[in-house]
Amino acid sequence: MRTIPFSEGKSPLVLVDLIHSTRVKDVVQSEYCTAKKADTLYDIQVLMKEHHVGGVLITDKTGKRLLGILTVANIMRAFEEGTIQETAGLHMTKNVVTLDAEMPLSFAVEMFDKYSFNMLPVLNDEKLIAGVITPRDIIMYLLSSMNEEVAKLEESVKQAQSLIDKTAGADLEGFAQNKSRVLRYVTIRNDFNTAGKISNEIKTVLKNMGIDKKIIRRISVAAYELEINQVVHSYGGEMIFIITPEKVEILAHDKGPGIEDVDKAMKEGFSTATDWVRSLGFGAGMGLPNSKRVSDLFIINSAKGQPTDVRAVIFLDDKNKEKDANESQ
Amino acid sequence: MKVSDLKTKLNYEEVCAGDSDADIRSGYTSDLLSDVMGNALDDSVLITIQAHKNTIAVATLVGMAAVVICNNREVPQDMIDAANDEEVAVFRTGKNQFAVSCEIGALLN
Amino acid sequence: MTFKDLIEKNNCKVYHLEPKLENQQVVNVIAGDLMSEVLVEDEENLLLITSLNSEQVLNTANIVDAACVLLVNGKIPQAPMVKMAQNFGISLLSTSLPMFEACKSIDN
Repeated sequence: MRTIPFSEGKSPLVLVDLIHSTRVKDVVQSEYCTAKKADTLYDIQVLMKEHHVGGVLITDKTGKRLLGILTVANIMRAFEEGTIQETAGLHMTKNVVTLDAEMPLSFAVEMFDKYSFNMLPVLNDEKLIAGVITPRDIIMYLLSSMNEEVAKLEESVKQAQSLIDKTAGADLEGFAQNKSRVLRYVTIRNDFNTAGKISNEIKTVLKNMGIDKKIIRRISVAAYELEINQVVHSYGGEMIFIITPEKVEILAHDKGPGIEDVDKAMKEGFSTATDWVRSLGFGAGMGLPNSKRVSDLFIINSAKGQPTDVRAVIFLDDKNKEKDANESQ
Repeated sequence: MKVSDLKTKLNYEEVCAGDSDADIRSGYTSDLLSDVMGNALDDSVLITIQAHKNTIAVATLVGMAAVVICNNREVPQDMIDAANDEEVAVFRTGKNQFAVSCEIGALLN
Repeated sequence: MTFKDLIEKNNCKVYHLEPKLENQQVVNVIAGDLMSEVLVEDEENLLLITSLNSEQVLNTANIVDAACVLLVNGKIPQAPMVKMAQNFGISLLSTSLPMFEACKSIDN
């Protein structure tokens, strides 16, 4: 069997995430054609033509329980065999391949690959009809979701760019000497194997730029705590580092689930971490207070059910610190 | 050394008195409760920053007489209640685990 | 005491040792298993004593420019950890002593 041309390790993270988080119920079409067992194949053929569908679900009286399915192939055979005036009940396919609404979308793709159906009924938890799904529905859904994701990515790149433009206007010389950079990284939920890599990479970048060791340490601590927080507490997110000759700005955005009480989370010792996280040496409730402590400017925005956005700024020398503090007032 | 020495000789803040006459024969420094449970000896003092009621549960299981909370971590009320119930002494200090281990180690010698 | 003394006295297994470290004095020490506590530390050239045996220990050590990590309770670091230690230039030792005894040995 062919597999989906898509791999965990190599495909872009937004796509990995999309494929895994999408369920059949997200794509299912709630408009579909039904008929009863007593209806004739001729009636059903008319129904198919009128609604431009390739399959009709045969249901019980309530219209919710699936008894069988009739497709264009059944109708064609009926014309050939001269049985077109017989009932649906006699000729429908009874062992119908169905999908559960809660299944990941990748299952549906595999099913369409395995059988040559062009439509599959979808059942809900109570085994009642939730709708139907066709390969076209899947293609449309994925295309529009990818569009959204790419638009989001483009937007974040643009935001980052406009931020550098703003901050770097004062020092074009710095740019000319290649002292300014924007770096963007993605964090993955619960991926403890790579957690910490981003912060250590940033540390190397800053070292190579010749920034003061003590300041590098503060930036790294803020970055590390924010990185660990995204891995431990969020559904994953991104970290953008904007490095200019005056300051380093860390923008940490995640995809939720948000912090219920931000004031509480900013208190030392408060933690919602699990024992598992604690066994890895984190979850002591120091993460956010720590990153705030080492930052010159620290802004956090979050609420339950919302993404968490953190902006942490560390100035590279004290002169700029005063200047910017005045500006932000 | 005795549990009360933690207050009288080392000036740690006494949060729960516990059995102040109990003997302490060694120390165990750890912030991982599973490690404490598996490796600590009885009649020892636990040096940790884990100010949590589970710390008392583990100390009781192991048979430790006292717990020293380092870095001035706030001791929550449910931990104090558990310590009083189990008669485990709890002390607090601004010093870190290393400094406290050294001080208690020196007293034990 | 120097790092060389520390290694001899505690019978440390040496997984990575920066040559310049051997004759340096052990001055700043932090002992614990919660890495966030380590990140609060402001001292330079730290010796980090921990029973936590994970890559996060080396990530943390690198962030705070620690000089050396001493694993206690006979913890054996995995190969990726040794590699990280080499890359970061952080010495990596292990002793069978518990954390309390390891701390004591440095004080005396």
